[in-house]
Formats: sequence, C-alpha cells, structure tokens
Amino acid sequence: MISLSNATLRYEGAPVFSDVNFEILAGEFVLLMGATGSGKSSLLRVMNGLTPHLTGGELTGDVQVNNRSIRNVRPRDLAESIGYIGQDPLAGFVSDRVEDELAFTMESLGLSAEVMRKRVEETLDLLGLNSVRHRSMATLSAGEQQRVAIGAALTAHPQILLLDEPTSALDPTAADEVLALLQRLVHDVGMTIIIAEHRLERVVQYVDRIIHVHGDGRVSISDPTTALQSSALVPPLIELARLESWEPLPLTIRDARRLAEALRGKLSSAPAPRTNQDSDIPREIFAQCQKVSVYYGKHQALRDISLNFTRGSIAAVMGRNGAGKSTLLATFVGLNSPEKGSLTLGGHSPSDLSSHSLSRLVGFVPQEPGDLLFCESVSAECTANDKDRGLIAGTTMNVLNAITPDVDHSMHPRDLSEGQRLAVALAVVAAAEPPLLLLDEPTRGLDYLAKARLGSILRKLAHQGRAIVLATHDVELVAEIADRVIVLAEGDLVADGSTVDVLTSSPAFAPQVQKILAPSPFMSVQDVINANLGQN
Amino acid sequence: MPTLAMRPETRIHPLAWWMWAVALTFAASATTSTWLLGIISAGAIAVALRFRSDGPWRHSINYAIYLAFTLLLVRLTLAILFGAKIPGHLLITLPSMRLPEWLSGIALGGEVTSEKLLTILREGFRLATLVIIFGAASSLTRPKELLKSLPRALHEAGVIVVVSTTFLPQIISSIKRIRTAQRLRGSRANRGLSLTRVLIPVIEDALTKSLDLAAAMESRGYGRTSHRARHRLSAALLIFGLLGLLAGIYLLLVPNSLVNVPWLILTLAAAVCVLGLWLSGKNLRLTVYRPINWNLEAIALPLLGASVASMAGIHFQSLTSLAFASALLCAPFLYLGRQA
Amino acid sequence: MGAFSWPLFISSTSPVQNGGHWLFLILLPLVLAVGISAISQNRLDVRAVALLGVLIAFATALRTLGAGQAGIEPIWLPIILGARVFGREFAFLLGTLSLFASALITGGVGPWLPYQMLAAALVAVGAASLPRAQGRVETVLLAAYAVVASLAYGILMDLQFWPWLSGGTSIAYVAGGSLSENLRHFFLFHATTGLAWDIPRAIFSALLILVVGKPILRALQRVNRRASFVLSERDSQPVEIS
Repeated sequence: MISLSNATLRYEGAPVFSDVNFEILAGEFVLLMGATGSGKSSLLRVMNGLTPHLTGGELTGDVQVNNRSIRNVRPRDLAESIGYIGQDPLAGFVSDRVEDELAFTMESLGLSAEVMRKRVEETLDLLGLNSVRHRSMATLSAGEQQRVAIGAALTAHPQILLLDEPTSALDPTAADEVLALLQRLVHDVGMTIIIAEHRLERVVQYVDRIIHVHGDGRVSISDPTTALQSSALVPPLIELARLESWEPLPLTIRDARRLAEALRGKLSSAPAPRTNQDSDIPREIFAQCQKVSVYYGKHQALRDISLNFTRGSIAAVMGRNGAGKSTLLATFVGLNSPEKGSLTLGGHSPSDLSSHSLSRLVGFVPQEPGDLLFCESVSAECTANDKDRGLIAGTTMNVLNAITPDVDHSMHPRDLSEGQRLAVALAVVAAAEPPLLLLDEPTRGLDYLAKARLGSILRKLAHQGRAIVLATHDVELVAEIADRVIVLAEGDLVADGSTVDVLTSSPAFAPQVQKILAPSPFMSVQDVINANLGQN
Repeated sequence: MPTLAMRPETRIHPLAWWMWAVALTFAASATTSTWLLGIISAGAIAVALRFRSDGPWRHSINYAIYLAFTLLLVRLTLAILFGAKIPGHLLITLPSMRLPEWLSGIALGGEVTSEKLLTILREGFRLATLVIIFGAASSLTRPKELLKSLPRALHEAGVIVVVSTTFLPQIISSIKRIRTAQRLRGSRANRGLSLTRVLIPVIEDALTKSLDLAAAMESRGYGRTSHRARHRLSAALLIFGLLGLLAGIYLLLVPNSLVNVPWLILTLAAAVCVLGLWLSGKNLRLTVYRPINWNLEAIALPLLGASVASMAGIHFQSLTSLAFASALLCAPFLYLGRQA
Repeated sequence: MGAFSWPLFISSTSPVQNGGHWLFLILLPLVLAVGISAISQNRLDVRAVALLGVLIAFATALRTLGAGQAGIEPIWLPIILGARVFGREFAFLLGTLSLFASALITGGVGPWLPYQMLAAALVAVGAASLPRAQGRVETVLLAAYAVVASLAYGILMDLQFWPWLSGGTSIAYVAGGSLSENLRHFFLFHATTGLAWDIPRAIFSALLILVVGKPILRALQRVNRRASFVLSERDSQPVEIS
C-alpha cells in the first residue's frame, strides 16, 4: 500500500530522516511514535505527499502509495487513495456546517450528486454524526469535531488514513471514542490507518506495528513488543513491565494484571505510598475561595465552590471538558468576578488589584502557551519580560535555563517544540516569583520525556514554596506529582482530597499502574520502586 | 428569531433573494414617490427580520438600518449647508456666508425651509432604501449557499470568502483569549505596545491555522482542474472583452459622431466577457452537493420584485397602487411563513 | 493582466448624462468578476487560498471590532502589509475580497461596494508595487504609503459617491459642464464629507503601521518562507532531487 524506499527528507540541509525503507500493507493499523520534534509529523506527511509538495523540503528516494509515486502526483490527486487529518481539526474546516463540510471534499473531486448524497449519509452513520448534521461546527464538542474531520476525509473513500495526534485535544472519554472508531474502520471497513501519537497508553493495544522515529534520522519499524522493549518513550504500563521484567511484554491492562500476581502479593505487605506526604505539617494557605459561584450569562459555571491552595503543594483540578476547570482557574486569576462568595489571593481580592500587582501574586500559563509570547526570539521574550515586570535583567533567562537548558535562544518561539514553548511560557510567568502558579492543560502535545521534565520542574517550584494548580486530564502526570486532586463536574465540587484517595477510588481516574495493581494504592512506577527499595 | 427551516426542500435559492433585491432596487430607483420608497424599505426590513438566515451574515440588516440613517443625516447636513433655495415655510435661518469666487461663489447656510428638508429627505431616502435592500438580501442568504450558485469562474474566490466567514469567529475568540493572556502577563506597557502583544500572537496563530487549512484542503482533493488549453482561450476572451468595455465607455463619455455605436460596443464587450468567464469556469471539475433548486417559492420572489418594479416604473401615484405594492411585498410572509 | 483596472475611474469626472452612475454600477461588477476570476483561476495555490481566507477573516475581524467611524479603519493594516509581502496578484484579491467579505458581515453593502472593492484592490496593488526596502525604512515607507493611499482612496470613493449624494444641491456635478467647475464642486463636496474621514484614516493607518507593522510584516514573511510560498503556475514542480 505505502512503501518508502531509501527515503530521505531534508529541511534546509539538515536531514529529518534518512534512508528509510519500509512497507505498510493493506489493513494494518500502524502507530508512529517519537519524541516531540523528532520528525513524526514530517514522516506522516511524506506518506501522502504533503511534504514536500506543500510544506517544502527536499525528498530523496521514493515514496509510493498504491504504486503511484508521490513525486509525480500532488496530494490532491491521491485524495481517493489516502486521506490526512491534521492535529487541529477546527483549523481544517472550510465551512461551518457539518453536512457542507463532508460534502466539500466530494465537490472538489467532482462526484455526481447522487453519489455525494449517498456517501454523506453513509459517513454520518459510520461516525455517529447524524444527530449533529445540521449544526454549526463551533457548537460541537472537540470529539465531535474530530469525527467530522475524519468524516470529511472519508467521503473521498480513501483506503488509507493518516492521522496526526488525533486525541491530543480530547478528554479521555472522547479520545476513547475516536480510537474505537478507528478500530472499527480497520476491522470492519478494512482500512489502513497510520496514526502519530504521543499518548501511547491509549493506542498501543490496538496497533499491529509501530514505526519509531528516533530523531537522529533513523526510523525503525517493528511489532509493538519489540519496539517498546527498547524505547525510551513508554507508557507507565510498559515501564512497570520492564521494571519487573515481565515476559512477554504486556500491552493491555488485562495482560499486565495477569502477570502482576506476584507483584501484587509482594506489595500488599508494603507500606502504603505517600503516607509520609507531610500531610501533618500545616501549610500556609495562600489562596482560597469560599462558596464561590460564577455565572456566564444565565449559565452557572461554578456552584458554591470552597477551596484553598497551600504553598508548597501541587493540586490537580480534573473533570470533563466543560466541567468548570478553566473557569475556576480564570476566577482565581481575576478574570471572572464571582457572583457570590469571596476569593482571596494572599489576603487580597483579585478584583482590587491592578494587573501588574496581580501578576506578582499569580501566574497563569494558558492552554496555548504561545498566546503569551509575542517576540521574535526567545532571548527577546526574556528581556521584554524583565522590563515588563521590573526585574533585574537576565532573571527570566536564568529561570528558563533552570527549567530547560537546551532551548536555542535565538529561535522564534513559534518554531520551538511544544514542550520548549511551554517552558518559555512558564519561565515568563514564573520569573516574577508569584506564589501561585496556574497551568491550564500543560501536557497537550508533550511526549513522556517532556512530561517527566515538566513534572520535575513543577516539583522543584513547589519545593521553593509556591502553590501550583494544574487543570488537566492527564491522570498519569497527576499520579506522579500531585499532592491533591480536585474533581469538578458541571460546576460542582465532586471530590477534594489527597491524590491517593481520589485516584484510587474512581475507575475513571485511575492511572495505569493503579489499574494493574488494584486494590493496592500504588499509582506510579516510582511508588513501586520506592516500595521495592523500602522492602529491601 | 425564527429562521427558515433547514430542510432542503424548503430552502429558497439564494439568488432568488438577490434577484428579488435587485428588482426592488430597480423599483426604488425608478419611483419618485417617497411613500413607495418607504413601503419598499419597510417591506424589505420586515422580510429580512422574519426570514433571516442563520448564517454569519444575519446581522447585516441591523447594520444596514444604522447605515441608512447615517446616510440620511449626512445628506441632510450637506443640503442644509449647500442646498439650493426652495421657498416655503421658514424653519430656521442659519448664518449665511458666500464663498469666494474661486470656489464658485456658492452660498453656505441661509434659510432652511421645511420644503427644502422634505426634498432632501426624499432624495436621500432613495439611497437609504438601497442600502436597506442590500442589507436585507445579505441577511437572507448564507455564504455557503451563495457559493453553490456562483458561476464556476468565481468559485475559488467564493471559497476564499466562505473560508473567511468560517474563520472569523475563530479569530475573534483568539483575540479575546490572547488579550486575557497578555493582560495577565502584567506589563506596565502603554496601550500601543499592548496592541502589538495582542495582534502578533493572533496573526501568528491565524497564519499557522491557514497552513493547516491548506494541508487539509489539499489532502481532500481541492484544486483539480483540467484542460490547460481552455485557459488560454478564456484569458484571451477576457482581455478582449475588457478592452471592448473600455472603448465603449470612452465613446460613451466623450461623444463624437458615432453616437449609436458605444452602446453596441459595450454590449458586445460585455457579452465577450461573460463568455470568457463561462469558459474559464468550465475548467473546474466541480459538482454541487444538494444544489438548491428553484422551487415555486423561489421563482415567485423575483417575479414579485419585478412587479413592484414595474409598478414603480409606471409611476402610479394613487393610494390603490401603494396598497397593491404593500401587498406584493407582504406576499412572502404568506407562502413562506407556513413552512418556517 | 494589470491593464484593466485604472481607466475606469478617471472617466467619472465628465459624464454624459445623469444616469451615468447606474451604468458604471452595472459594469463594474463585471469588470471585477473578470479580474477576480482571472487571477484566482490561474495563479492561486491552495496555500494562497487558505492564506487569503485567513487574512480576510482577520481583516473582517478588525473591521468589526474597530469603530469604522470617522475613518478609524484598521482594515488597511492587513491589506497593505499582506499586499506588500505576497505580491501583486495576491494583493488584488486581498483588497477586493476583504472589502467584499467585511461589507457583507457589517451590512455595508450598497452601490458603493464594487467601487470600494476596486479602490481597495488598487491600494493593495500599489502597496505591492512599492520598491524593495528593509527594516525601519520599510515600515516608514509603508506608513507613508498608507497616508497617501488613504487620501487617494478617499478621493476615489468620494468621486464615485458624489453623484449619489449631492444631487439637487449646489455642489452637484453638472453634466457637460466645464472641468474646472466640476472640480470645484467636487472639491467642496470632498472637503465637507470625505476629508473628515480621510485625514483620520490616513493618520490612524499610518500610526498603526508604524507601531505594529514591523512584527506583523515579519510574521507574514516567515509564513512566506516557511511554506516555500511562491505564487506560480498551478502545477509547478516542488524542490526535489532524485
């Protein structure tokens, strides 16, 4: 179906990958994995010719789709063979109505009206979109938007689909739905699907083969077990399996549970993790809200929320999209005034403060870290920040270096990888040393290593005496670093307790390690390591 | 506000609305009766408010009404300052001033009579009506639907406009988002600088999205064409047509002995242009999904408009004709209202 | 392809009969259609389509958010800067379609719209035709151009608007009258109506460009480079080595 022979891609001289040879057969479900910025997206785009036809670059060697070389045809000519869905589904929409969007593809291909009509209906059924067919795109949830994007590519009836990080913008439920859909497409409809993904834990169990882009130009393809055995980027499940040397390498929770018998037995007598979490040491409360209610027009976004955030601890706010996580953060930053209740930050009410003084008390890293950055280079960004906040020149740069030493300071912020951009935004915000740091969905687009780095940075910042609050879906990260978990649903506070308590009590929020080792309250691989050390 | 049902059988072809609007425009320009103008305006506003689409253009009529008022005001002010004298009931007398000779010695200010005001209003009303008619037509159609009816030659441009209407809400929300983020960055910078900080991330964001959009469109097959040879032919036709138009206009404006020829040249040139457009349109291998057909209601609309126009043209001034015109304008309410 | 735009405007000063403006109103859309289709058919890459769509959305957003009264029209910022970076044909479409799209959203559709579109296209093409410059000089050049263009735009728009708005007053145009007399009338008309718009527009646009222009230009240029973006014939070959 797709074959690469001696393919090498170069951007301005530097090779992204070299001498790649592999073949993907019909009906395969393939995962493309690699660190952020390693060239995953480029490899994906080479497969339907978007690179180099649209995004430039030099391609040596050949890439063939159904025996047609992409050197001779443009991606639009391959639309009936291979479809591509990018990272941001909303950015790929031409019109604002679901049905029109599905039809646009076929209109461009010049299909007859009857065929178009039929295919639109089929696609709506296949993707479960019939109930939203007349709706405007902006009113759909992220999961539905992603499905519409898939549908828009499907109406051309391609045999192959390429998806670039389809679940990154989705909460776990929506992500599962999309992946289940892809599974169905592979198994029932017989499509070939290639998906580039960071959140391996969601996908590994479904795929036939894994293509690993190493980042130094090498690309290897193998079955999942072999690829994961030696990869640096692995989900916690595999990490635990490697730690305990389980054979054969389990790919699903079920397989892992079977192999974990012995481990569970051993750990049942081990002391519960995180009992000495300094929970007895009274911590200074920096920010708190009492019975706060926030309304957006008539809609009540937050109902009677009472919380406090203490210095030196990391709190995670979890919940479905739309539950009020972002609203809560926004209220703490002073963007919304609560209709009822009171909110204080270090003794002051946010609405009383000027934005300058506010920024000294609380720092906010938005979902899109790029929103904060406007300069032409990283160093310019740092200098501007120093000037803005009245800091000594070089402060921001020092903070950035402490966070990530490997950012090229002359690069334009938009050219950085996701993780690096997040680091710069974090440095900008943290430079003024605000005691409260809020981060909204920081793990989007980060691979495991970058996430681990983020985790350690946040822990360091917490040790320095700051209160850190994360709004996130990422259970694994929460399990690793958070002391406290707050769960919101429809504006209500549903749970507020220590990480162990909240995560172990709910199957929806349980991290992988917990699922494997239940009922023992171990949530991360680090916990298991500590327990093992403790026992020896 | 109730909107027309989405079910395709009841959708009115967008061109039907625009043709209705054009017909009403003819009516407005042909008539001299302010009452008729008023009825046309009112009718257009009413129809627009009742049947407005749910697309991004639906607020056009509101803006159009404001604009119409503004224009009337400007007209009025101009006329009060510069207008010719019309004797009648004196309202106020503004201080008058004669401009120097090199400015044609026009008199400013002077007496303002109610007749004068009325005359001015009448003239200005025509323009206001036009604005309202077009605002109504915009409110009644959705860009995507209009795109479907566009001649093929303009399809690309149509896609561009559709894309821009789709992106507009995204850009506005990103402006809001980025403004809040930048505000929280807490700078002491002045307003000019903070404008930079908001606009730049917005533009960067938008530009990145445009590349994503291009990738998506390309992967979905947008942009296939055929028949290179036709390009040349249609291009040639278009150039000829334009030159012809130019010639025709020139002759029209600076009349010399060949009096009748300009019109002929103009029409011929226009025809050539149209032919060229049609031919270049054939290049695109496109089909239309669920094209909106010309059903009975749709055909009725331009006919209604035309009747109003013809009435205006025949200069009926009596009350019955006014009533008749109102009835014609209300007709859409009757037969379209049932389905909405 | 560029030959078509200019002459149509000049002719408005010495009309033959009173219905002159109606004739042009009918013809102008045809001319515009020809221009638009000629460029969009042959010279547009899919990236250009996407980019135009997004830039026009940006322009529309600015027009809806920026007051639009008394000449405060931020829409010229993306038009002039985008035109500068991406070339003449892109500029023509950018100018024309920005005004079209934003007029539809803001309800500014009227008999002046085709003229606005054409005038904006001229402004854009003009911006694209300015000589090469770098850095500070470029910004100043563009700002100066903005001033000139705003005033010129104002004159052009008033020129076509004149017959509509001033009939029956003493500063109306006189069919068959002498050129100087008509010019005088026009000048008065322009001074009372248009100038109040034009001067703020010129100042505002120039200021905007001076303040925000450079970084935006750079952002646009980055996209230009990143997408290896060259307006060329539809099926040009990419950079490849075998």
